[in-house]
Amino acid sequence: MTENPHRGGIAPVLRIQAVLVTIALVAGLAIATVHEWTRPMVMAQRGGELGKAALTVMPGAESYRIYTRDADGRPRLSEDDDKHELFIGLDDRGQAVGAAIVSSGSGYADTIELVFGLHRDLDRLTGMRVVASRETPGIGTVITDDKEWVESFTRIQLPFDDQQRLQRLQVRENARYEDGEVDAISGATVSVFSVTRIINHGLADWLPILREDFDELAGGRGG
Amino acid sequence: MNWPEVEVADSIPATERENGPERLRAGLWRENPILVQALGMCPVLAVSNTAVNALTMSLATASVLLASAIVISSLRSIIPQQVRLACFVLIIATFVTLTDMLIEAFALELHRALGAFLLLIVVNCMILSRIEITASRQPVSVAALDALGTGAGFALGLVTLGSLREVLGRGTLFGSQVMPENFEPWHVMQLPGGGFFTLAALVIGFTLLDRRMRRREVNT
Repeated sequence: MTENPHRGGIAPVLRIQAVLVTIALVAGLAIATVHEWTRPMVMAQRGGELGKAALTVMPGAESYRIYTRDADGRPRLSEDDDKHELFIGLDDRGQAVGAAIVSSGSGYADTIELVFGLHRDLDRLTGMRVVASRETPGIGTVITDDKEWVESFTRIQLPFDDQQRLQRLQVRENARYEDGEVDAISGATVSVFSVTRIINHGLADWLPILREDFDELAGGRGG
Repeated sequence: MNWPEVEVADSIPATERENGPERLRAGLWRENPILVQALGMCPVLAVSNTAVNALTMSLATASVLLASAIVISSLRSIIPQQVRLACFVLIIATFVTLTDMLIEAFALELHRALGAFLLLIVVNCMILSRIEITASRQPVSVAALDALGTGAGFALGLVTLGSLREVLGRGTLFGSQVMPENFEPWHVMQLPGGGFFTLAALVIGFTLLDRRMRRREVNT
């Protein structure tokens, strides 16, 4: 039979609370300790993974500068614990060859995180790599497995209107890469549209900043 | 201070001491959590698409179960019965969070593949049932052997399921090609539907094997 904790005054209630609070305190301490210990390792792994993908989408890049955005949305050099949002690729002479933008959004099954490269003239893509996704195996996974489709991103020109305003990339069958079109893949419609949408978001976020500050972000040695 | 008695988890009826080695064997076979009790089916179907995912998930679940069982069994004489479930969930959640952080730090790729299912170990009914039935009422040695048996049984079911789905769905086992080059993978085996088919086949096979073994035991 369950004892009424209120019988016998406040002491049983206090004891119950003391046990709960003690367990919660020890749990919190253990979690905080392990978090402090593992955080740098996680950040280093994530940074390394993104950096590797960034180098593959910036042809000619040997090294890079990593940027994140501050509270005002302005780019600043990324530190160890910061999110890596933009890579500026540098060749072996320290000249800027382009940028790699990290962007993410919802896919068919879960969030898709990808890195895409932008030529230093800021007028065409130089590649795309999906870094994390959980798309349907054998169907949505073409966004990582279909080499020909992935390589097609090295040929896509950014579409601009007459006033040089950026237009959205569109998904089309038999895409014309020079018009900013991405090849559709039957059976993987949602995944392909998701990748295109994520790149459009990344471009809308970063292109205005890059147009303004590319040389400065490249350490004054770009162009 | 002399506090009045508060009923503790240990005082729940059925405190009869069980046999540790017997609990170890029961969890592995007779009371297998996947193939007999059908517990924790959500992660079983979701992350059994490859053998590596299945092995990691089983190790994570078994570690959480073992650590929680040892701690809860050690504290069973001070955990008040009125808040025992809150205490159990708090302790299980702590070990799940620690396991999640460690897997993220040492195997980021696997951590991504397992996704939210790692954190959902907190509400895995297999763990809560072993804690409530055994760990909160038995000494540490029995609780630990029970957790080990159940964890091993969970791993047996999950890794078998993961291996079958990977071989048929990708032609590989633990990432190495095992099927002939001209083998066309059955993509359905990598989808949730394939998980159900394989699980059903596995349960039928297990039941037939178990019956045959029992019949043989009776005859001898």
